[in-house]
Amino acid sequence: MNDDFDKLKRDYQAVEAPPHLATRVRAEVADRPDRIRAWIPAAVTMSLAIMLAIPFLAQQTGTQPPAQSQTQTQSAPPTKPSLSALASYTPERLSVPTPNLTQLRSVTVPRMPPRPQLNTQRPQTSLDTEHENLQEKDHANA
Amino acid sequence: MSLDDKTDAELVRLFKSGDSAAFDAIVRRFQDRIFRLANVWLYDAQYAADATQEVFVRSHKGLRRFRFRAAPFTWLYRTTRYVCNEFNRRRRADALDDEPADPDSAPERHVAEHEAAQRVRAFVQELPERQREVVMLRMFEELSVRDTAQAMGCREGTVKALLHKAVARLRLDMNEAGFSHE
Repeated sequence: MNDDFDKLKRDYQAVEAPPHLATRVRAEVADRPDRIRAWIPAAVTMSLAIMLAIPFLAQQTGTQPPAQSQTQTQSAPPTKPSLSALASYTPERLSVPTPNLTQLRSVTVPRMPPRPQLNTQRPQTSLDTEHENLQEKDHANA
Repeated sequence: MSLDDKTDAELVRLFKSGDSAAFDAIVRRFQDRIFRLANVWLYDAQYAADATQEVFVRSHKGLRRFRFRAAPFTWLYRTTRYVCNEFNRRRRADALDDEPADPDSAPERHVAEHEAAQRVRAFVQELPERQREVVMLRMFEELSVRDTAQAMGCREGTVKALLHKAVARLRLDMNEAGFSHE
């Protein structure tokens, strides 16, 4: 049985690649240039530049705070905010007056139009019309 | 010392360092083995030739990133499996449109089909996929159990078990077919 396996193996190993395969491979390799990957270093450089610029920009905006906030934090030390400074903080009142409830109550509303009166007569029913028809027939017969 | 005398790893190292002649030597060294494997996977010599070419074209890029964790042939084998699977998928998709033709009777065949290859395929095709793989690598390509396991992405024990089952089945099939040593 081992001879049979050896024969099978020899049969397998007798198969050879077609001639000129190496030439075909060489020609195909030459035809397929490598993908252009020049965008990768450019993208890496751009992202690094953005990452470095973000803290710098944040620092720039932090050194120039608005004037209103400067007046609010005058009592507190500029570098280390404390809770006591926060407790003494009084927010500015808004210049717009608060709405008055009494004014709301005194608002006059125009009167509603008079309610339409319902017809006092009894609504007509099918029995009434039938009765009228009978009366007309009697009159005709008479 | 010529390129043909160098080991597989040395050739890959030379190719990685920019020696294009080393790549030609790699192709010359492995083309028969890769073609044989593709021939069994694809059941067609013409497809196998195309697949072998594709394997080496991809290797031209891939071997530059080779990190010598496995033998170069193991790496090439895995590429071959991948390419053959792609070819089979494409062929199945084409077969939905066309009547499936018998690959052995293709009139435009450029590659002379060996009778021996047909005999081998007849037996090996009957095996389940993993057993077929282990027979080709361990028995025919004479890889070590370790390299076979690495190529197949499984444990060495699995290789031994698969080989045991495959040999038992091959024996049975060969007895039934009356295959004997001439």
